[in-house]
Amino acid sequence: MSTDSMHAMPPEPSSSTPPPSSRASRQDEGTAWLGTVLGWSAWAMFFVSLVFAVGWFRMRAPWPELPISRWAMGGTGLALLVGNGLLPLAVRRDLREPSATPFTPWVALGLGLVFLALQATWTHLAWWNEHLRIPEGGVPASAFYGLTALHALHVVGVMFGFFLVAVRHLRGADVRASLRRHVLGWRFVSGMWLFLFAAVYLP
Amino acid sequence: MSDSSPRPVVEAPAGSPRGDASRAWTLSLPEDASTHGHRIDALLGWSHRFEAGLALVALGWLAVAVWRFRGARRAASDGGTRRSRAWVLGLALSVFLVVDGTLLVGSEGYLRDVLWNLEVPAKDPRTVRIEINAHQWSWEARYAGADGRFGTADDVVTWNDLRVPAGVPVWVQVVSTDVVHGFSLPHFRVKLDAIPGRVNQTWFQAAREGDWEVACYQHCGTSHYRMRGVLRAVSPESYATWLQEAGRQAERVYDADDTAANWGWEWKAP
Amino acid sequence: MSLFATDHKAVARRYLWSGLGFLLFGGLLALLIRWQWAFPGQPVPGLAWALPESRGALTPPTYTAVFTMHGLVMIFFAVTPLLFGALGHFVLPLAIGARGLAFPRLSSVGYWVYALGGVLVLASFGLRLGPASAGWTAYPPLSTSVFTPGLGQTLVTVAVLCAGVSAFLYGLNFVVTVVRCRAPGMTWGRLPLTVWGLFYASVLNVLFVPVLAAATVMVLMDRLLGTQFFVAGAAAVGGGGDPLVYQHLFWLFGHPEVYILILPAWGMVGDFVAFFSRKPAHGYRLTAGAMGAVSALSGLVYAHHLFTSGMSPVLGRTFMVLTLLISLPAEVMFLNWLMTLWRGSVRLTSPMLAALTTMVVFGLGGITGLALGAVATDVPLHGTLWVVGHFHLTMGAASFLGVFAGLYFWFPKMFGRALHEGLAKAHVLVSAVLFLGVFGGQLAAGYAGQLRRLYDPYQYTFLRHLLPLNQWTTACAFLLGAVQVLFVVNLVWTLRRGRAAGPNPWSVGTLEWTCAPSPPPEDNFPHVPVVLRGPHALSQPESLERLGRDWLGQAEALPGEPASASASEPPALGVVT
Repeated sequence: MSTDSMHAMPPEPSSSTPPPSSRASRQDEGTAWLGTVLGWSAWAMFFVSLVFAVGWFRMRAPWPELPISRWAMGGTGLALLVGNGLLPLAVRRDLREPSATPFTPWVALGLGLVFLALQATWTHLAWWNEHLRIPEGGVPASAFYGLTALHALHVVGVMFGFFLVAVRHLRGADVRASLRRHVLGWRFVSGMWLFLFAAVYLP
Repeated sequence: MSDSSPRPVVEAPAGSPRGDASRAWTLSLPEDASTHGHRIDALLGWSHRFEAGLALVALGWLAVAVWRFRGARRAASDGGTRRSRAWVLGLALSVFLVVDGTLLVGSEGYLRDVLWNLEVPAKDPRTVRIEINAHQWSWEARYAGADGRFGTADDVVTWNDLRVPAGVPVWVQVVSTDVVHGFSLPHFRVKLDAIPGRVNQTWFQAAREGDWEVACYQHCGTSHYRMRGVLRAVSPESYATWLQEAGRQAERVYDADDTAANWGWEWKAP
Repeated sequence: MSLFATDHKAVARRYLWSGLGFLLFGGLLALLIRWQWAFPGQPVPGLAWALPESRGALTPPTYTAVFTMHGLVMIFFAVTPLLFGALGHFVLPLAIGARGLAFPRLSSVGYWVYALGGVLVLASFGLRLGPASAGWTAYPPLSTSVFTPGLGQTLVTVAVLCAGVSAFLYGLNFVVTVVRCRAPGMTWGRLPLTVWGLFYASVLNVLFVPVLAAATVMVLMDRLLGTQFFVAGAAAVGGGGDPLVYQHLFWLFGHPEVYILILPAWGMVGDFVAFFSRKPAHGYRLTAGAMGAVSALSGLVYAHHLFTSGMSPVLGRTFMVLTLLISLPAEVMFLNWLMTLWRGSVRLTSPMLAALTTMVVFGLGGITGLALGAVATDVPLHGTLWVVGHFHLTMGAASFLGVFAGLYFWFPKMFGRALHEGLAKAHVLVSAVLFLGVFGGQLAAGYAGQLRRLYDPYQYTFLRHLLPLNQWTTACAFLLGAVQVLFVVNLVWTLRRGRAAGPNPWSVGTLEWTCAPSPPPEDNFPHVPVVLRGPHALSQPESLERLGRDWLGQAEALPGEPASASASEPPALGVVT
C-alpha cells in the first residue's frame, strides 16, 4: 500500500508567515494521517487472517521441534523494534531543522536492510541448512518461509516509501508531514512482526 | 426417534427416472426415502408457508401503497411518529420471532434427534458402518466385512455402488483422496463434505427398499457432473448374504502390499 | 479528459465504462451456462469461432471455466466496480458537499490496479488451458496447481487480488472522505441514506478484503512457491495442511462481500423511495441503524456456508442463531421503506421503478434465504440451484437493479443530458420481470434437487424431468439479455443527442442537485455549501407555503430562516429560478 499517494493537494509552499490556507493544509494533513492510521489498522486483518490459519494448523498438529533456538531467531526482529524507538527521535530532529537533509529515511532504510539481511541469512539459511525446507517440510516450513516472506515484503514496501520521501526531499519538496506518516508504516511492520513471532515461532 | 419397522416395500425399477416432466412445475423436493427425512420436509413446508405469507404481505403492501398513493395531491410531511416507528419495530420483531423461531426450534429438534445424534447408530447393534473415500470422480465405499473391523483382509470395497439394508441405521464416515467433494443422497436428505485430511461422519436410515442416486455437490473438477453413484437399499437378509459373499471374494484377492487399495481406517468414535 | 485524471467524477466514468463492459461479458458467460442446461452439449449458435474443436459446443473443461469466470467477473469486475467505482466515486463527495475524495490520486491508482486485473482476466481466456476453472470460490486443493494446472488459474487469482486491492483503496478513501470531508453542517444525521450504505460497505471492504487477500495469497504461494498450506492435506487421512482453513477465511470475506454488494443499493432504495414519495424517509435513524446492524453482524454469520463441512455442533448452532438474527434488522429496514411509501405521493419515475423492483427482488431473495439459515432445512437445499436462485435475487438482480436505479437517477448529473424516461422504465420493468423468471426457475429447479455447477444435470435420473423447466428458465435468461438493448440504445442515443437535463430534474434537495451544476466542474461546487437540514426535506409545510414547491435544498435557507454561518454566500444553484 502506498501511503505516499495520499495527498489531497500538492504540498503548500512553506513560508515563515502562515499563509491563509494553512488551516486547510493542516486539515489535509489530518486527513492523510487518519487515512494512514485507518489503512494500516485495517490491513492488519491480513496478518490476523494468516495467523488464524497458522493457529488452525497448529491446533490440528503441533509444530515440530525447531532445530534452532527460537530466541536467537527472534533477534532479527530487534532491528525493527529498535527502529520503533529511533525513528520518532529522527523525525523529531528532522522537524526541528527543516532545512537540513532529513535523517529519518536513511535510518529506516539502514535498519530495514539490517532486518532483511538477518532474516535472509540468519533465519532462512539456518532453516534451510537444518533441512527445514519447502515443499518437503509441509505446513510448518510453509508457514515459516511463507509468512516471514510476506512480512518481509511489507518491510520492503515501507522502506520503499521512505526512499520515495528521500527522493522527494532531494527534489525540494517539504516532506516533514509525510515523514511522520511513514513512521506509522514502520510501527505496523514491527507490530506485525511481534504478532507473527508469537504465532509462528513460539511453541 | 428411529422407527425401525420396515415400511411397505415399494420396489422401484433400477435406473428409471423418478417423476415426470409435469412434476417439475410443482415445486417439490426429491422423493423422500429415509426414515427421518419427513421431519425436514415438514419444516421446509412450514418455511414455505412463511415465505408465501411474507411475500404476500410485503409485495401486497408495496402494490397497494403504490396504487393508492400514486400521484396523491398531498404527502405526509413527517418521517414517522414515535408510534409508527414502534409499530415497525414491533412488527419486525414479531415476524422475526415467529418465522425464525419456528425454523430455529424445528431445526434444533432435528439436529438433536437425528443429524447430530450419533448415539442412535452407535447404540443400535444392527447399525451398518461404511467408510467412503471420494476420488476425482467416483465414490469408493468400504464395508468392514465379517470381522467388523476396517482395514482388514475381508473388507468389501465397491465403486459407485452403495448397498444398505432398509430399516437399519447406516453410519458413514467420509474422506477424500484429492479435492473437496460433496457426498449427497438427495432422497435421504443427506449432505456432507468429503474433505482431504479429515474424517466427516453422518448417518441415515432407508425407509424402504429401492435404488437411489448418490451425487457430488461440490465442484471437484472437469467431470464433477459424472460423479454419480447408486445406492441400493435391500432387505436386511439379502444385504447379509451379499456382504458375506463379497467378503469371501475380497479375502481371496486381498493384496497386503497394495497400499493404494488399503486405505481403510480405524472407525472413528463420534 | 486525461485517462489519468484524479478527479472523482473522471475516475467514476472510467469505472462506469469498464464495469458496464464486464457486466456485458459476465452476462454473456451466464447465457452460455444457461444454454448448456437447456441444450446440453449442443453447439452454441455463433460460438464456433471460439471453440472450433467442438464446433461451438461447450465441453466440460470449457463449461467449468465459464461458470467460474461468470462469478468472478460479475462480483469483482462488474457489480462492485459499478456500485462503488462508478456510482460511489461519483456521488459520495457530491452528496456530502466535498470538493473531492480525500485521496484523489489513490482513487485513480485504485482504478488502474482494477484495470490491470481486468486485463489479466481477459488475457487468461487466450491461454491454452483457458482461464480459472476451480469455481469462483476457488476451494483448494482443486485450485492448487496439482488439480488445476496452467497459467490461467494463477493469472485470475492475481486478478482477484488486484480487484481486492482496488476495493481496499476506495473503501479506505470513502471512509476517510465521509469522516473528514463533509461540508459544514453535514452532520451524520443529515447524510443521505446512499452515503450511509456506501460508508458501511466501505468499512466492510477495508476490514474483510484483507482476509480475502490472505487466503488468496496462500493459494498463490501454494501454486507458485511450493508451500504446502492446502496441498499437504490432500491425502486420505492425516497430512499437515488443511483445505478447510481456506473455506473459513474465504467465507469470512465472502459473506460480508454479499452485503458489500447490496448495502449501497439499500441506501439508494431508502433515498429514492423517499424522494419519489415526496416525503421524508420513515424512521431515518432506524434505517441507518438497521443497515449498521446488518454490517456489524455480516462478519459473524459466514459459517452458514459451511453447515455441511462437518462443523462441530457448537459452531453450527452458534452460526445458525447468528444467521437468523441478521434477518431482524433487514426486516426493520424493509418495513421502513414500505412505511415511507404509505401516505406519500408516489411518482413512478425510472429511478423509482428501479428502486421498487429492487425491493421486490431483494424481498423475495431475502425470504428464500431464511430456510438456508437453519441447519436442518439447509441440508437438502445446500449446493443446489435454490441457493443460486436465492443469492442471485439478492446480490445479482437486486444489485443490478440498484445500479440502474442509481444510474438513471444520477445520469443527468453525470453527463448533463436526460435519458429517455420511457425506454428507461421499460428496461427496468421488463428486466425485473425476467429476473423473477430466471431466478424463480432456478429456485424451483434447486428445490427439486438440481445441484450447482453440473455440466449435464441430466446424468442424474432424478433430475431428468427438470429439462423443460430449465429450458423455460433459459428462454427467460436470453430474453433478459436481449432486453438490455433498451439500455444500450437509450445510452448511446442520449449521449449523442439527448436533450440537456435541467439543474434539478427530480426536484429533490440533496447537495449534488441543488448546489452543483450538471455536470459538476472540477471542484464540484462554486462555494462549499453550508448544510441546514437532512436529505429528505420534502412536502414540508414551510416550503409549500413560502416557496410554493414541495422540496427544500439541504443547504437552502428559507426566507426569514435564522441566518446560517454563510448568510453572505450567494444562493445555491437550482434555487435561483
